[in-house]
Amino acid sequence: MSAPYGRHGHAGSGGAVALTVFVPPPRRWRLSDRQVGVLFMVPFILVAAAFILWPVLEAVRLAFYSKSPFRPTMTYVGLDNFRYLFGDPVFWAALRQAVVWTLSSTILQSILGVGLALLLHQAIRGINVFRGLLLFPYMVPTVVIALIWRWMFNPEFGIINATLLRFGVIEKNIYWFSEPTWAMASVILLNVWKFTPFVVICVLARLQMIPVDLYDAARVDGASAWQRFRDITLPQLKAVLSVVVVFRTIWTFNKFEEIYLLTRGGPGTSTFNLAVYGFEQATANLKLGVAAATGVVMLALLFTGSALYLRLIGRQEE
Amino acid sequence: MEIRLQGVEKVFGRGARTVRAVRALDLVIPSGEFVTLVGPSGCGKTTTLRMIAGLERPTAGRIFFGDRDVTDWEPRDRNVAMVFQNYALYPHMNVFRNLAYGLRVRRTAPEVIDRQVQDTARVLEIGSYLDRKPRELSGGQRQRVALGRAIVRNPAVFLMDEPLSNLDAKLRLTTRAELKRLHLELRTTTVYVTHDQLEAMTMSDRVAVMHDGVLQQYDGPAVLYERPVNTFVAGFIGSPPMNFLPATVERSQTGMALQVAGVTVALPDPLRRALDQRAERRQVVLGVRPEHLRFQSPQVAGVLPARVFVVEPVGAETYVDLLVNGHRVVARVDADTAVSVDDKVGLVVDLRRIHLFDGETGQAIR
Amino acid sequence: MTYETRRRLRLVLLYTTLVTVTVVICFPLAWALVTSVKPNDEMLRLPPTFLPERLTADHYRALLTGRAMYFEAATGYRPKTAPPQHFLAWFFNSVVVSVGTTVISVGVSTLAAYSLTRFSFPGQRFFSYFSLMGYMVPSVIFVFPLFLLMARLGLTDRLPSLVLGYISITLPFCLWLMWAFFRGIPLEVEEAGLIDGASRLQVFWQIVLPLALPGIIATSIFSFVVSWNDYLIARIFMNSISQLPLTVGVMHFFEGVHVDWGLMMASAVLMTLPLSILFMLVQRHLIVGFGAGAVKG
Repeated sequence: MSAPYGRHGHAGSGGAVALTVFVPPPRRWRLSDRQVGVLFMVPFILVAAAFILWPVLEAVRLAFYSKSPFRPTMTYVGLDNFRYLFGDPVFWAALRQAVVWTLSSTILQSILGVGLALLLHQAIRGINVFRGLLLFPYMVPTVVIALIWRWMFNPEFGIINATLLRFGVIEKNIYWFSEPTWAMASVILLNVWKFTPFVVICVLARLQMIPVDLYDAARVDGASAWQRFRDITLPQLKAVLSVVVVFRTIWTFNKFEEIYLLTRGGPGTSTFNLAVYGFEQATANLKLGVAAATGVVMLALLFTGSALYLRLIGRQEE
Repeated sequence: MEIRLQGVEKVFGRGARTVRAVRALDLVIPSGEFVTLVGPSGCGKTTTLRMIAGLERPTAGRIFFGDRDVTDWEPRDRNVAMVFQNYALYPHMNVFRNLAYGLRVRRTAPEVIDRQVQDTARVLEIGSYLDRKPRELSGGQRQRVALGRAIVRNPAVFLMDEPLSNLDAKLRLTTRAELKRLHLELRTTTVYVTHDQLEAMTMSDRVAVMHDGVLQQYDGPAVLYERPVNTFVAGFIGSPPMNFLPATVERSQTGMALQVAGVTVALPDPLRRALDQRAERRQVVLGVRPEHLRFQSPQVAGVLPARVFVVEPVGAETYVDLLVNGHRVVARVDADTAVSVDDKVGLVVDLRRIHLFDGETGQAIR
Repeated sequence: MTYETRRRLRLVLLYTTLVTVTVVICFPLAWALVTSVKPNDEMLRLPPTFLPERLTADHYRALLTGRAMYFEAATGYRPKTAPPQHFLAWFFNSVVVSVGTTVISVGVSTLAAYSLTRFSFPGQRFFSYFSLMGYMVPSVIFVFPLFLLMARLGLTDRLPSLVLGYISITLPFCLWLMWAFFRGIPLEVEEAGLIDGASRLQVFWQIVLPLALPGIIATSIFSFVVSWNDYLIARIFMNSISQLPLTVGVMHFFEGVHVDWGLMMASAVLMTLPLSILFMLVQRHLIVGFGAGAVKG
């Protein structure tokens, strides 16, 4: 570039633009940044207030009323709904089962999720195909999984019993959805199958952010593969794992479809969790107030649970 | 376009986390000049540039373009162009559309756009990749496109925010020269921000040195170098930087003299007169540029005793790091000067070129 | 052992593990696919055949033509509410509702997220709490008040009620995702636009939205999937069999005397098909190396 700028003649050859351009003063009709900011927020605020905030507040209010879905009347009953709940043995059973369901699902998902993520983190040919196939269950509708599960676990024609019989693990068909323990196991399996990919996605994303330098440094320092995993990978995953565990716990605790579609809470009420319990109160017993009260109890449990957990994590960090 | 800043202030944050990024800044950037704002990171130079661009609104004070008060104008109305540190090219547009965007939103006729983009591309030698996306370009090519996007509109003012800092050392040197040449051709008022004092010194008509949001000195490069107003400017401009040694002012038979590292040094007349008027301040800082130090045998009377700490040959000359009474001092000497580590030498200071600063305020004593 | 053999051994081990795990995890879906193309007699044979001896498209034909041949054959009559004859209507309902939900929730949350990242105003923190809250509140809580609201609006048993209901699930996480995506777009690119003379709205349309496109696509797909997969809200809101989305509809296959597994597996496959196509798109779009050309570091 040897002084070619002289040929750059906007002022001369271009002619259209003079060197001192007249700058127009700001026009009035233009939206200021602040106006744009407010304008962009308005639809969200309206929709969120009407269809999220209001229903939740209304649910809390409903917990203090007696209400049938088919009658317009609503009667204030004070704490009666909560008294009903706490006096109902099914509620306590549902709470116990909810804890079993939540804990076992979350623990299994976390362990399998980290394992799968480590496996999928390898830089080898074709890994993207495996990643796709292993993450896909997350997208599959629960209804579809429930259909498949019911077919596979079908006592007479299901592939599971047939295989177990063939290999001599069992001698006669297991009636999976008629026995409380097996029913619980099969819903937990469904849940783990569907949501482990969520853990994998989160962990995999974090794994890819760990600088390779760290591993190189550890290798130079003489760390074995296991030591590298324990001293570098795990500490780096700690933060993301604690968040993932919180969310998985909350969401699993709230799950309804995964149980209801497979076992309808049965046999009897043996796979009820609180969500299924509330649903049944509203739809079978027509007690919307009791259902709402169940929701309030769930919210209270979730809030105290996560507050405690966050404080615990916070203390560890210090 | 002359740019005037009057008492401009910028405060970020609220309450305890308040940061006063720019304080009471008065600055006149004459029409057609190349002015550089220089200072360490966090000194307020970029904030000042962004206020001129209209990207930030001053907390107080006014900004004028010519005689128009543009303080409340949107960036689009100011007819300025800006080259960003990271270039900020539109990643989803090819080079042609990147250059054309500013003209397009101003509803320029398509054939005019085409001609101006082609002209600019020819000048900057980016014509061969007009249909590439930014991510397909090298760092140097991106830098040119960013520059092209600024000049294609023929704006009233160029604003440049560290445009060379992402280039490798060699490319930076050539681009620096080209930018200077470009300014000579176009004569467009340019405000340039950098933390590199060498860029500031080599390219600018005037340099504004900033520190902690306060303008320290605003002068031509030569004046900044020869007559820094305080220790900050003195230490910031020049490489290697000016040496500072604590000293005491003493009254001797011949008038005021300087006591440095146990040696008494007679002062040149102008400094002596300046000191006479402020005899109550006894602690001062002696400033000497590395090129104003010479070596002597340590036995000669009146030399500063020093020990060689390390020797750094840079080719044409050699930087010698020394310890003088526990203070590090750098001397810039001929490449053939024979010194080696731990030698005891005597330092001779060129007394006509020394600077004295107040020991407490750091202000120059003249 | 040389370095080369050790490397080979490691690779073989890795691939074996990967293939085994993949086979186990993908088996349920594969089994559904296999079952859906088996004729009825083979389907119920014991022990089951892993690969169908004879392929048939009868189950799919029944779903897509709405003719419940097995249902008729088994029961000897053709009831008005025979599930398969509604399959296409359900599919159509699901598409309409999911697309509607996605357009509204992504549109609304894109605007809001942009506003939250680029302008500062009091109460901004509230919105991040709001999103987190939305993540936490179980849907069984608000589905009944929402149903009462829809009843008051006269929307129950109509598709718009589903769209509004689904928005209440998708909106919080759409805001959250778009917020994260906008934070990833460098401010300087927008500022360059402002200086080039574009107005705030022009910058939004011509610079920000194209840059946010990968994020918008990813968020849309998530939103689509959530709406497509929901069962609870539709179960509460909808009543007439022709108005159901797929999820609630296919569960009707369990009603009646004869449970037709072939139909069910075929509908399972058809229900999953749109999602698998979308999933392939997500995978491509989630790799956001898009902005890398604009800004370093």
